[in-house]
Amino acid sequence: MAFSMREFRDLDLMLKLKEAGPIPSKELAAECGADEFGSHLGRRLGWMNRYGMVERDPKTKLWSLTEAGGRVVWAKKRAALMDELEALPAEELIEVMAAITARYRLGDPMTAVMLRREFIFGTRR
Amino acid sequence: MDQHYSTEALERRLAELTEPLAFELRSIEENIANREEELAELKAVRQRVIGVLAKIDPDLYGPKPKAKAKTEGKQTVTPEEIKNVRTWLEEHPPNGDGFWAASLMENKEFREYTRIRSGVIMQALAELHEQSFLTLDRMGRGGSRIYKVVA
Repeated sequence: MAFSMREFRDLDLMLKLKEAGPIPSKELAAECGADEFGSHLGRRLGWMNRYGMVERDPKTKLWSLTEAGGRVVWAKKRAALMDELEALPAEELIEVMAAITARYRLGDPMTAVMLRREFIFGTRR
Repeated sequence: MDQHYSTEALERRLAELTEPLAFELRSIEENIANREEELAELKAVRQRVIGVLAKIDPDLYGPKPKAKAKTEGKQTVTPEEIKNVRTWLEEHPPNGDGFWAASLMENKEFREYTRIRSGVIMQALAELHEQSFLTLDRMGRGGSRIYKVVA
């Protein structure tokens, strides 16, 4: 199993980490259904670590969400906001996109990376 | 080997070394140009011959039908089907272990409520995953995608 962005979104892995708490990557791989542990998940977590979404305690070697990553996961369910977005006419979404790209340029780097990766995930077909 | 060359002598020596190679290069380029010309002529002749043959035997030499696009005939999930699946999952939260396409389709109530075609259920779940309504919890044996509703 490759743990690529084609299957697991960053958010999927972050939700797993939130659910499981600090966890070794081997166990996380098993939780995600991998039969055997390869280096794939470790590499993926390494990149997510570089982007500031997750962190690894050097002593315990356990992976967990960073504070910023935790904020993203906890902010996920804003049902009212999602309903509002869904109700927007398509033309107004362009303005929403403009606001998002502005935040991409000006916001914090971790959120910018996550926005970019979400865009890649959502437009890959 | 302790020879010392003046700058002029060095330049002359370099020129002597490069001259034969430069000549060789010019010769190769001429050869390529000639052959490209020949190739272009041959292609033009081939086209004319094919044109004549196509008139005599169009089945064998006529234009080939274009291959069907891969997506042609592929079923596409409708927004209504996606919405129905979402509503059903909201109203009937699956158990905590997650669910996959086949497990949903085994449920008669689900099929009747959503009226989703079996060929597009995976697309619907992938779409709801992209919308963050679902999270991909794990991959099952055989590669099935096991989802959970995001709490």
